[in-house]
Amino acid sequence: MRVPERSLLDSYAQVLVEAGLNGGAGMKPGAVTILHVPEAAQPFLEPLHQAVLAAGGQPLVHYIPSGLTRNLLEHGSLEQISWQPEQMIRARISEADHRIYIIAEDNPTELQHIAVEKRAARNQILTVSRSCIDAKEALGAFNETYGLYGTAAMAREAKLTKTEYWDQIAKACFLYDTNPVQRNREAQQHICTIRDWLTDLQMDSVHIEAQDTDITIGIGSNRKWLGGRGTNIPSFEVFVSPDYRRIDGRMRFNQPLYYQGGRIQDIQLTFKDGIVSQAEAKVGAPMLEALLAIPGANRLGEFSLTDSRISKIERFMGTTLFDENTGGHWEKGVFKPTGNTHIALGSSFPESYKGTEQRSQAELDALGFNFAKTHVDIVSTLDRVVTASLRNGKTVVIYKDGKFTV
Amino acid sequence: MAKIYTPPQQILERYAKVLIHAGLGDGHGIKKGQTVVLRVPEAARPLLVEIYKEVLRAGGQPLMRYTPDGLQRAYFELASDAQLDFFPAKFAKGMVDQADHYVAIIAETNMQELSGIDPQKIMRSGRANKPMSEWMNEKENKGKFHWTLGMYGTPAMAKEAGLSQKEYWNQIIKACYLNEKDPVARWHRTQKEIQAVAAKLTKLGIDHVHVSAPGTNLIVGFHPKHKWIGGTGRNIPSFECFTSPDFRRTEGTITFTEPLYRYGNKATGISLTFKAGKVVDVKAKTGAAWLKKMIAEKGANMIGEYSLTDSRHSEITKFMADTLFDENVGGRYGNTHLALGKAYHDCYQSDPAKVTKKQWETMGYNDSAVHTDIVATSDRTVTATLRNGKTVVIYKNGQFQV
Repeated sequence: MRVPERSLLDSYAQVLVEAGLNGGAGMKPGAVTILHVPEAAQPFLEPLHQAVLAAGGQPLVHYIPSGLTRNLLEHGSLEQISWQPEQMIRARISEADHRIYIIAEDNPTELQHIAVEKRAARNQILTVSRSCIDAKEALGAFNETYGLYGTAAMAREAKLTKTEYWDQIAKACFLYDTNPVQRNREAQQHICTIRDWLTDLQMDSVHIEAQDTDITIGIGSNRKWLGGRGTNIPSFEVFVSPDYRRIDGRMRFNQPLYYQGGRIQDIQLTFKDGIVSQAEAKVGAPMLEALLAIPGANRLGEFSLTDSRISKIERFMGTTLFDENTGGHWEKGVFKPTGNTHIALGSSFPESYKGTEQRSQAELDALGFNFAKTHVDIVSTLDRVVTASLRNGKTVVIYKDGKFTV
Repeated sequence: MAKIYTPPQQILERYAKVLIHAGLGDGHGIKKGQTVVLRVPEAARPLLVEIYKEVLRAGGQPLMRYTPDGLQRAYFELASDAQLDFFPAKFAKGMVDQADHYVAIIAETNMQELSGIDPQKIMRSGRANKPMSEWMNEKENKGKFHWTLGMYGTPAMAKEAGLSQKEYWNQIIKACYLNEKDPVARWHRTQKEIQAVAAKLTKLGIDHVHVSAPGTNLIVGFHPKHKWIGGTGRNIPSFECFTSPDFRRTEGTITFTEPLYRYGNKATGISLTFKAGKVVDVKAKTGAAWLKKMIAEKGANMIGEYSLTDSRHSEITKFMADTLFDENVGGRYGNTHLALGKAYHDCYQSDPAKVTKKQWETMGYNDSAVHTDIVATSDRTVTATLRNGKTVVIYKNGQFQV
């Protein structure tokens, strides 16, 4: 049997088109949808193409050949590496209403041998497309969703068989359900209920207690919690962009972080007045140091919680899309439904601002929104209690035993 | 399925060098910092990697347009008329604006992929996409855009041509001089020879030609400022000398010997009769029905190109089931072909950027979303009647006589 089966990919494609785009409402007929598909996800392309056509949309295929980035970094000059086809990037985004972005790697560590300065030059070029998308998104004229195509190499990295890996994808995206689109929308509804409850509490800050973790994160009453928007399939988290100036304490992350083709493990961060004052990692400490050296990456951009009752992810998958939504971890052969919490170093979500008026980047910065050119999620599944201090002075436990208390 | 033959890396490296340094920039290659769009299908992946590296080595910026195989059939089956009419205008414009050069590679994985699909659907989508080629054309007329076309042999293509994969690739290797140490220099020599022939043909001042061959008795007329072209690097390989005729002055009958592949269909034993420039009779052993549908497209009932290939120039000796090679075939008698549909604006002696759409039409340069080459390899004699009234045999026994 071929893994994954075609019918499963058809379901996933339909979920992305109909429960991922437009905040979960699905693509409208006539919409132009970029299909960003790496060659490693080749079998997914046809199902996606057909799902967009069947929904009356216009697929704009952006198919990325494997291995050429490596050739560019090996043979190209710094000038060639940092070049970006700006006219074409802008044209592609301005043509489109949506993007479906598929994550897939057939060689997750292929760039490990490349000099850091070359990798850094390459990373910078993604900023043109990001800023085009952000600008169009802010106008409500564009939205996107991310999905995963599991490869043998990714499964290996997660120490799973390809069958087990795809079983996780299928469960997390409700692909075994009789009506996966409907089921995904139900999960989104559930998440939206929690999200709105959290926003309505009007928190000043949250305090997180767990093993080696004792940290206070300032939120502020002008913040809105986010989640259930379909921008990732799967997505179970509820998250907020905190006030980056008001982070104090320490936090331990028991999940590995994949960053620039390398793995960083057992990370511990200490914050003082919003800035990382101490960073440790048992594996990959130099990479963590390099990350923190990026302007703004020593501050927070996101705080997130996932309820183990909603998340269908039980396995470590080696990719942020899944790991930041995990429902817990395994201990001595037993699954512990601890849910997860994660923070992101780097950029905030401007849409986490509660007001309806347009705010400039400078105004948002003054409200504690981080505009770094990176956003890296780091995850912990250590059992935690999260207590919110409300603006009215009360304190409420909002999360414990892997569950929101709503 | 047959095991896929991949040519040695050195061969692919050489093909990449030829495309970049003898194909682009009118045969002069690319300049440092220029952007080269690479439109390459999945099946040609091994060649893609070499072209990508060659562009980098030449100091250019490769810009990928990697096209997946096998999506077309479902597209034409599922797409509504509105979907067929969709043209991503902004995106296409952005790409043309960005590009200094454009390399396209032909590689088919399934010659029958579109069989049974109504060719009108395919042509409908072709009509929708016409602005793209117009923009490229416009930029090319200004000297700011260059393109070239190459081929990557696949099991499906070899099978269609009745050759083994190795035989098929041997034709590509021979035709593109890929067994030579310096195939780029060799191309430059060939291009010079062909350019010299084209220049002589232009200088003759031909009013019309008479093509005489088995089943063929055809007159093709030209505008006084028409120009013969060859050896520009726009196709690798390319051995033909061609020009764009006055679309109103084609008279008589031409019989083609080579099968035609177009819009997912095949036609054989084609014979066309023209009157006052227009096709008035279509005969074909097979495929007449779709061919007639194609000819019913706007401008496809008139010709946009007339071409001759000298057997001494061309290294192609076998039928390859693809226009790029078949329209350049040498063999015993070389070939002649004409194209139904769009004319080439560079087949004009003055600056094409200064000519309006209306003026092209007045001069007899055909405009159409279609450009379909049909080839005859039968022994022919081509006699030119010059504007000064003299007649000259310009081609016989498979060779130019100029």
